Amino acid sequence: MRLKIKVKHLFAIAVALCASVLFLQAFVMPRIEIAMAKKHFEQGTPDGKEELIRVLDASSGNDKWALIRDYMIENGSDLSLIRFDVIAGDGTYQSSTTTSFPNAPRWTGEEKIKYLEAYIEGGPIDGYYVRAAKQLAYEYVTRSRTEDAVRVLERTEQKLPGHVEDQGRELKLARARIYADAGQLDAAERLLTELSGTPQPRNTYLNGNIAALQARITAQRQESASSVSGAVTRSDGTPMAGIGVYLRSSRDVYHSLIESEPYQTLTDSEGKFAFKGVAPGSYALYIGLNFEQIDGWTLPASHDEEWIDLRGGEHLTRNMTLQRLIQLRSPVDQQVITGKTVTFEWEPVEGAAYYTLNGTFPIENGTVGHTIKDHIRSHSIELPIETLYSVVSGYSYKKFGDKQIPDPSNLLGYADPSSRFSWSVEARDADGKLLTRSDGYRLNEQTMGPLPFFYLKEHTLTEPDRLLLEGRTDEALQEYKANYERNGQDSHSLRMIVKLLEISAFIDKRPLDAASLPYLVKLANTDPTGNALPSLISYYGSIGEWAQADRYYGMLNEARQGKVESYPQAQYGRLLLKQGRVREGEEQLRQAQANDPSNRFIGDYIASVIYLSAALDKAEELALLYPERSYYDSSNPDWSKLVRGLKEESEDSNDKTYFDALKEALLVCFSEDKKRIEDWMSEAKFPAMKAFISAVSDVD
Amino acid sequence: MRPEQEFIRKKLDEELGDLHFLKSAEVLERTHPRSWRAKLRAIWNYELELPLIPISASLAVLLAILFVVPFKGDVYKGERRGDSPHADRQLVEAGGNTYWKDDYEKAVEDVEIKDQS
Repeated sequence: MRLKIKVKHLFAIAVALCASVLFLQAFVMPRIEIAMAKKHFEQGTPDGKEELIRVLDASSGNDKWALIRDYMIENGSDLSLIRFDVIAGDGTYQSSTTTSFPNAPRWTGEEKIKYLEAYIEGGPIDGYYVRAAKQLAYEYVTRSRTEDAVRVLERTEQKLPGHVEDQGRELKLARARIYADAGQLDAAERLLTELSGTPQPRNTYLNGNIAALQARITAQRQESASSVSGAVTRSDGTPMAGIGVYLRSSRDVYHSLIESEPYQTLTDSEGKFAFKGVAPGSYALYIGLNFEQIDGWTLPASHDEEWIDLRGGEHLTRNMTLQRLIQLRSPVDQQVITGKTVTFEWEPVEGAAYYTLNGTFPIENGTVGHTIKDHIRSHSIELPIETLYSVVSGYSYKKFGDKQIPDPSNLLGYADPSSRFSWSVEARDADGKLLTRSDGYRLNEQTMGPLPFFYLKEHTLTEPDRLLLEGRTDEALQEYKANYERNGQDSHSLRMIVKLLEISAFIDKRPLDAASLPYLVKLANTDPTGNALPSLISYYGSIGEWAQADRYYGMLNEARQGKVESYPQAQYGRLLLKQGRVREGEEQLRQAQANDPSNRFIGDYIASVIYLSAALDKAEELALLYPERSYYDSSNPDWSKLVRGLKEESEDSNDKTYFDALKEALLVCFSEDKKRIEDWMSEAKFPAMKAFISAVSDVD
Repeated sequence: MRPEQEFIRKKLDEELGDLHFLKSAEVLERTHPRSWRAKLRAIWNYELELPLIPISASLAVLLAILFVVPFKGDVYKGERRGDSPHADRQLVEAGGNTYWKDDYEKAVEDVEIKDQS
């Protein structure tokens, strides 16, 4: 086939082709390039960021603004300071659930400053414009360029059209906050005055934030105001700049971080932060990080261990050092263990005095955790499998038919051969302070390490185990009892009998009955872990057999090598108070109090101190030193206030008779006899004494 | 000239006597161009005869190259990473750790394959 064509027509076709190529180059290819760059950036391909920057630099007008808006401003941190991937503190880690492009590379501060400045210079004035200004201000603040930050916010505010008043007010508030953080209180207050000059009844959220900042500045001006400062670094000394730092009140820590919490800041280029003008109270430091910053690292803070108690006029320094996660060695990667012992091994941690080995049982939507062994001095330990079987753990509930019963797999614990268990370790120094742990964020190949899972298949399921797993709890209990009758050495059946009896007592909200006792006694006497002893001590305590309670507490102390957990120790201390053995009780409570950072036993301890020495000054000092913290909305007693009340009351009356009455009242209170306490209350003459006794009687 | 021819000629002269051919110069100019303009026009209107199959085939190849080259790098990278878009990547908590769900599932799968072999 041949085609006849004139030169002029051929020429016309060529021209048309060239034109279309030019058109493609000029209009279509850049679109494709932008689309490709976007895709690569979102997927986190190695040079995705460079590609996007190239496209950004090459584009102009609306294209450029759209790119900056979608890939920089949208995911960026506003001055609200809480837009971090992970908020860590008080032993908890909260991951944000929304990240549009989790794999997208991060912008460096310099890159953000360059493009955000351009956006502020020429970008369209809309909601993103305000965010761009806040983010640019944020970058300036982290570089200690306070003046630039304030300037950009002020200029943006002036540029905004009249009808977006709320956004303008937000910018003004942000400016006031920056001034307050920088200690320029007059400037901050001037802005707040301007803001409150035009109240907006609609925007209660903004009004709340304005009030919170005003309150903070007022506190900051007071002479009694405290300050908390420090630095956030990695263990190798690298400062962490631009990290969110939050000083959160014990009344706020139960909910996730919100913008209206008053003490929020960012670390500067040296990782330093400072909160000035902090009101008295109990606080915990939290930090906000991005995924890459926490990946493979941990903030070594245990729940309830890092409280900062401010009474006024203090200037505290608290540094936070991120530590590398401990790598586990064995058993890992779902190893199946069938022998009589399990050897746990992990990478040693420099400066660690001992380790705590923790485990988890799987439940439907997560895990339940427990301690397998505490105070391990080496970085490996060979445990008899019986130790694992004796672990005491919580349990979840599982639905069988229309009934919810304790998950049988959790009750079997390490004796369930189909369960996949996991483990982790914590390293602590000689003072018991957490150094680092093995569990944390493991988000890439290098940090993932081996999976901390293993199976135990030493135990084969018995008939009652099967009944239990089918949800036929009562039949299982009968069978366990029958098995134990036949074979007195059947420690598995014995353990399961005690577990099931304890659970049924717990569900019926009654103490263990006398029929359960022989099993508990037998288990307590044969189980070397001592895990069965606390129930036995509280049983004998509840029926007033003090000698038995003492004996089993002695056994617990031995099994724990003198390091009884604070809760059973405090309970034992209270048992001693109940018997009138106040001096011994005070000693136990003192030790329990020293090991319990939550200070929940302080009331009992103070009461025993007052009973023994009548030293109200000392009691007040203790109350101030170890305040019982108020969580959630509950208000726990303010012991220092209560003791102060006693002091004032004792000064007003005859000292001798007042203390005699107080001692008598305390004995009534220690007896835990509700009737006696109520009778005393109804006849009480001294209101402060009545308040104190009432508070001690309520101590958990 | 024979008498019939003579007659036809006369007849023709009579019949075409009213018609005058004026563009002989132009026709000559076209068939035998002399000026550069005329030469150009001749080339402009020159009729080429092209073999359709080889031409369209080479055009197709050219177009294909033009379109594939800009995307080639992309295909290569995609293959190397071997993964799909992660815009909806999820975190999962397992064994006390927090992993990316897809990484975690792959690691578990790898471990299980290793166990079976």
